[in-house]
Amino acid sequence: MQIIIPEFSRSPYAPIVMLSVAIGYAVAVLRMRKFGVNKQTILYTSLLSFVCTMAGSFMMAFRITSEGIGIGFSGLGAAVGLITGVFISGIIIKDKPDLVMTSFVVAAPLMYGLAKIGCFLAGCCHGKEYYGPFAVVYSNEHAGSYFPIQLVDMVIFILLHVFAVIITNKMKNKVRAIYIILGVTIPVRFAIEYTRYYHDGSLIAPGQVTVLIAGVLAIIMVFVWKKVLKISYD
Amino acid sequence: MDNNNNQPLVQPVQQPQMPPYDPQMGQPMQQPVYQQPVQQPVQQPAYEQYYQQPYQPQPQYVQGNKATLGINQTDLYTPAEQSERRKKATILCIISLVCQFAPEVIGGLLSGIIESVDELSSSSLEPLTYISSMIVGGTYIASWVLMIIARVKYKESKFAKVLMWVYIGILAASVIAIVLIVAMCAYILKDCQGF
Repeated sequence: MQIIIPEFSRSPYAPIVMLSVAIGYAVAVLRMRKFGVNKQTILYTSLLSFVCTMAGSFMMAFRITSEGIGIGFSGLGAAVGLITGVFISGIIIKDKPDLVMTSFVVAAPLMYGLAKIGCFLAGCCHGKEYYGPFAVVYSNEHAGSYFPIQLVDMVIFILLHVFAVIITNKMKNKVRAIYIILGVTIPVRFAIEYTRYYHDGSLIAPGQVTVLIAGVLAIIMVFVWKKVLKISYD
Repeated sequence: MDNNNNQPLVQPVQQPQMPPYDPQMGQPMQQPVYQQPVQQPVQQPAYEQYYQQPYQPQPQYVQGNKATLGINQTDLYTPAEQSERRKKATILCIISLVCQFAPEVIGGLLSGIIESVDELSSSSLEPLTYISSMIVGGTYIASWVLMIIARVKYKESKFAKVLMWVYIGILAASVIAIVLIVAMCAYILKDCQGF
């Protein structure tokens, strides 16, 4: 059984990515409301994190060529921007910063998982060549039969979101919950890289190094943020 | 009406409970102080103790609370303090405005440099790319950060409030513009196939 993806006249990638970001923000806002975070804190944090997400993604994909300035979109830059925005907002507003950070960390795997539907339909980030059951076949510029890694990505990250919701609801110590979520998400993301078409078969490919750097950066930022705000549950 | 039960019709007035009197000291005896049951503290993060709590609503039951009496935020400060706060908020907002529009200026200057210097190689453009992207992104984020600081610290500032809505409007317009440009490019490319 194969999954055949038709060639779209207009790529569904951008609308799906935008929709997934919007859904992720809606989930984060709903969780902040559930935790009793003030409305103005929610507004300012959402605005700042959205701006930082956009700026971070453009900063990573901003290129100057001999033809002029080219602007793209980078998922990694967006993730770093999101955490930076929540980090700065927590320092400025100081209103339940641990609950605000938890809400966004919980929503991030959902955003990523849903955005993978766009990758699945567009054919980008596809897996290695594969002709077994559930192989995904493209007839666009990514023509070929591949392992449906985008679908696996999507399912895993939505499950990670559910896991994150459960542990943040159960655990009183939200910072520990954030560390656990990051501690699970980073190795999963690292392992998925092995199945990508661009993985060269080495133990640690350049893409995986980027994942590790981004993961370590995120953990350091959370650690610094906790120290700066003196968050302690003792 | 007969009082068959030999009970008084009028109930005796209950005297208030007086504290036991010590005849030797000539003073009321001290009541023993009982230890109140110890409540286990709820696990709360330490930051709760030193929050500025800029948006925490004041409890409604407090008599004479300024919030309940309808006192404006500006009434909390003396005229001199108000003037000082207004000045600080205005400075923050002006710096924020400069940072908001700096990316356009920097982008325009860079485009001009690239167009005027044809012999720029890709290796020389690479560091320029990173530096300029950091400056452009950094100033844009800084403009929002400064505006939000102004909104949080100087809630009464109308300039900061107007600035926030202007920024939200610009952001919304930018997102709509990006969506339209992407859609238009896709439409044009579709029409240009085969040429």
